[in-house]
Amino acid sequence: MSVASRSSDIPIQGEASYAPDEGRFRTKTGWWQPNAALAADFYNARYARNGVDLTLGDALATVRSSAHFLAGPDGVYQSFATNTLARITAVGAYIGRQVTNKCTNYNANPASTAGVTKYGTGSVLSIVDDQAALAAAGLQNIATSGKVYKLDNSAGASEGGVMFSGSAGNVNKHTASVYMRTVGGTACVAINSSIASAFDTYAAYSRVAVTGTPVDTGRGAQIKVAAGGTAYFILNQLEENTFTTPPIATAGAAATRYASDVQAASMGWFNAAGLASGGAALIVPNYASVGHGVSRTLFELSDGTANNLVRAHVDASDKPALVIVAGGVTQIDTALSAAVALGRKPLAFGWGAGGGYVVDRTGNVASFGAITLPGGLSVLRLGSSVAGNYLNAKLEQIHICGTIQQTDGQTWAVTA
Amino acid sequence: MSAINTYLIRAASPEELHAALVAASVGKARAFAWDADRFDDARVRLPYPETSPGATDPETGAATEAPTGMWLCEVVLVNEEDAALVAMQG
Repeated sequence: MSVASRSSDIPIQGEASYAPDEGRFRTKTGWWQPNAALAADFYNARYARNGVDLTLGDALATVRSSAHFLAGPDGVYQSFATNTLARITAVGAYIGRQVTNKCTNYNANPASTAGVTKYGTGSVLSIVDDQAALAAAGLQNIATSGKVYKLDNSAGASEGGVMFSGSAGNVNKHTASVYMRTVGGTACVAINSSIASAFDTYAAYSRVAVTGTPVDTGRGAQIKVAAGGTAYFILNQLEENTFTTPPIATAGAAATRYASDVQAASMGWFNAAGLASGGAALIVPNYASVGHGVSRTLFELSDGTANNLVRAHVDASDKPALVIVAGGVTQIDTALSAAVALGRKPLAFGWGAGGGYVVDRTGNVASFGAITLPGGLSVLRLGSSVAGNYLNAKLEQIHICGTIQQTDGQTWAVTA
Repeated sequence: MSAINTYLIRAASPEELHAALVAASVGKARAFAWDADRFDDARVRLPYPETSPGATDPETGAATEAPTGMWLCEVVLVNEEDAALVAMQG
């Protein structure tokens, strides 16, 4: 059987698979792709190697020198310690790049208004208790003191607002965000000051964000409150991104959430399963945002360098793609014609000396012919590559196997 | 409880910071920096300009920071100490 044709490996919907079940990897049937050498289901907190269940720590190792917040299915943020994958059942694992919140106030647990400068005649800035509203928004594990900023512009005859200390430092695109609720009027978030979200009302704490290019390096995050209104706000964030990432708490200085480097804890299974001569992967990312204009890695097998690798990613146009480099020479760089959209996107990739494929659940296919395979593959990264290219999204599942030996329906059913 | 060790490294440019961390990586199981410009962004805060008080916000008049011309990066290690990084801090 060749993997040059995708239909050799993933028969069309409803068609019986003609590929022989070699039984090489199958030890029992379960939640994983039947012959998966390594399977990780972050959504359901289950992991297996060659059909044997194991713990997350036995399957994967995470390096990240900072804590990480991630919201659960109930909307409540949970905190993850250093070197711990940010993963929640019914959500998945968030694997993102390094992000610095450039705001330098006390954005999570303010005890004073240090780092927050009010403007506007008639407005009053204070710190108040808003514990119940914070809990209703799922913020109680970040804003543990229950205190928030309040800008009362109810007596103001014109717009009031606050400037947060901490500037962009460059004129690359930034995103400013804040959790905010309003009473009696409208408010918005801005990057000082012309880049602003629309003035609106927020009955409960909502994350309000705006993305744009600061007009100079000294610009920072800002909140504007229309005359007659009052805004309660917390967790202001200014990040060099075209999208928001999970909150980063600050305490009087900029704070960095380091990248999550997630690698297979060991690689003995890889060669034992014969995957050096080709393989396949079934993977389910879940995108909260697209259109970043950058490559976002799903997984990468490499020799630790960019000279020998198999990398599955969505490219700068958000199209699922497979890149294979052997001996420093790019063998294939092929992408589907259809881009991914928001939400969960089951994808399958196959590669071997005879060729391979990229396929999505709706039947879009890109295939390629014979190539030279990379040698020395000894590192498996999930959600990043040797060059970075972080996923910046949630990963629900990944199954890595020799070949996918099921019908489309059976294959995609694994990802349900 | 993890022990967090933070090493603040200062240099005249991001390239100098990269070179210093490549040198500090020799013999280590996991490098702080490699290739032409790649940092271990799971442990190293990417280079950023050093600032000091002295500027004024053009809209509010509030005091803000201005670049000094030097660059900084931070290496943050969990349950690990590194003598080479200690030496670099001067």
